[in-house]
Formats: sequence, C-alpha cells, structure tokens
Amino acid sequence: MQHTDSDKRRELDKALIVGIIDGNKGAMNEIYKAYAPALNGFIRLFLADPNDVADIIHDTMLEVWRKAERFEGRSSLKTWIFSIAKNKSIDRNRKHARLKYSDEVIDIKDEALNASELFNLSQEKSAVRAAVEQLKPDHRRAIHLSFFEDLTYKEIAEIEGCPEGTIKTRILYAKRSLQHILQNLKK
Amino acid sequence: MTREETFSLLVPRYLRGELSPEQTVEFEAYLSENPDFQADIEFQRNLMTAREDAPEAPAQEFGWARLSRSIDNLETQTSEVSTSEAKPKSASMFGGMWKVAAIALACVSIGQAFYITNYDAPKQYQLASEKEAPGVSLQLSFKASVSFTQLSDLLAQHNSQIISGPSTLGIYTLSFADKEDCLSMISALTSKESLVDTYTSCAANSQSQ
Repeated sequence: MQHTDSDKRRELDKALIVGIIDGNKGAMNEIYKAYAPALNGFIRLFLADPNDVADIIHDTMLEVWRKAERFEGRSSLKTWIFSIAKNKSIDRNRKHARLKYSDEVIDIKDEALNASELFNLSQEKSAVRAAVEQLKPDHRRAIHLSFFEDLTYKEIAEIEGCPEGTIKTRILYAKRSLQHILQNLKK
Repeated sequence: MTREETFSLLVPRYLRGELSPEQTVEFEAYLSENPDFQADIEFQRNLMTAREDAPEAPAQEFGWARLSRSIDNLETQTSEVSTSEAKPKSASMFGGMWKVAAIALACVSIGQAFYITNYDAPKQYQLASEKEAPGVSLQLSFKASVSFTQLSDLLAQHNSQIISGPSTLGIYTLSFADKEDCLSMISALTSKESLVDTYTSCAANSQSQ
C-alpha cells in the first residue's frame, strides 16, 4: 500500500522539520533534494522564465527554513511548501504583471470519444504534455498536482485555497478538455 | 453527479492503490462492466506517466549552494540581532534622544542661571527698609488711642516717614531729613496731649552714611 510510503514520508518530514528548527542545515538539504524537483514543475505552471522559477524555489525553501516552527503538521509538508510556492509565484506575477496565460475557456463539446482512440492518443507523452499546457490555469494546476504530484483532492484544495468539491469539478472538466485537445492535436 | 463521474473521481486514488479493499472491489466491478471506463483509466495512467517528460529541474547543486549561502547570511543576521538584543534598536534610538534632550536641558539651565544673575530688573517697587533713609531717625511707640489721621498729620508736618515697625512691642522707626525735623517732632509729641508711650532721642541714621 502506498499509504505506508506516504506515512513514512510524513514521519520523515516531521523529523526533518524538527532538524531545521534546531538549525540543522543537513535536514534542510534533505528537504531541498526531496521537493525542489517537484516545485520546479509546479512553479512552471505560474512562471515561464526559468530564472523566475529558480528564484521562487530558492525563496520558498528559504521561507521553509525561516518559518519551520510554524509548520503544525496538519497538512503534509509537500502541501505546505507548495502553498508557499504558489503565493510567491502569484506575487511575482503581479509584480512583473506578465501573466503568460489567459483565462480563455476551451469550448468543450459534450460528445462521447472513442475509447480506444483516446487511449492511443494518450500514449504519446509529449502530446499529453502539450495538451496539459493548453488547459485553463486552474485546471492545469489541478491536473498537475493530481496526476504529476500524486496529491489528494484535499491536499490540492489546501494549496489552491478552495473547497475540495471545486477541485473534483476542475479535474473532471480538465480531463474532458484534455481528451478534446488530444483529439484535435491528432487531427 | 453521475455514477460514472463518481468513479472517475476515484481513479487517481485507485491508480495510487489508496482505495480501501471494499472500494477497490466495487471499483473493479464497475470497471469490468464498462470498457470505455477502462480506456479512461488507461488515459489517466498515461497522464500520470507523462510527468516523465517534465522539464528538467535546474541543477540542484547550484540551487542548494545558493540556498545554503542565503541560510548562512540569515543566520549571521539573526545572531547579530540576538547579540544586540540586550540593547534593542528602539532603546538605543531613544537613548540617543535622551542624550540630546539632556544636553539641551543643561544648556537651557546654564543660560537661565547666567541671565538671572546678570539681569538688572527695573525697580518697580521698593521695600520700606530699602528706602534711602534720611539722616536722622527716631524710635517711639504710640498710644493706642492715636488715630490714623493724627499720625498722618504728624508725619506730614515734620517731613517724616515710617521706615519700619511696628515691632512686636509696637515700636516704630521714623526717619527725618535732618535733626531739626526730628526735634520738632519730639516737641510736638510732648507739648500736646501725650501721644506716645516712649520715645528715644534723635539719632543720626547709619544708612545715611
């Protein structure tokens, strides 16, 4: 069961946070190694410039170091770190006023897709990634956090600051959008 | 929400093996009855594996080196702050202000002392004892029956003025411009109905010297 792995991760994270509170840089290094790659993918959902992404990873991790004692352990460490990163990314976007995406909603026709065709389409990873890039920002983040980061709906809701039901709906619509985008890409 | 949507939402948990045994049985039963749903599962499984194409994270060693430096700087700043905690910033700031205030107060005090000691106040009034005493004085005690009018007339007639008194024994000191006035005063006091209980002889006033 992955539950066990998840629980182990949670216990390890707690120990690392205690280490950080004690000023142990080794513990911080462990957290950096564990979460920086995932943060990279997440922050790219907000920021296009790799330098900005690197800055936000750095700033997020520095905040983890500074505010470790405020981490109460109610949510997972990953959720907490991603929440910090999200806020910093949004601030950076506001600061530079350079939102790269639009809120344009993709028109989804409610028509049944051929299952086998969809399966074939989704086998091309680059196509899937290209399709994800075309989703609305909040749908893209929901898909990314759910399918790429293995976060639960509850955890995603904590990061996004919205009800769990909203995340379920976003993922449902995002999947439909993805299927249509993939179909169009094929054409 | 339809039954399909409900199961669809369970897919990530199913793929991660997070469903309970009962949920898994129910889920797989639904899966076996719906080939399209199976395809959806595979789609989502592929979606999960698409992360493998995710852009490379920046070289971690550089990112960590940068973070490590920032942490060191942060710790240095923190230790400097804790060292100066015994003398908080606000306290030192107010300490400086107190010094300035103390110096200003000292300057004002010295200035006032200098001004007061050198101030030559205009003489708007003068105590009787400070008056320039005429050359001759006489001490006496009037009878209780002497009225204010009688006393005033006497003083006016003999160019005299009270320069002190009455003392606890009722003695006044009168001054005169010269001895002649003083003697005429004594003559007047004794020739009339006695107005005085006692009196001294006319004496030269020391203040006139």
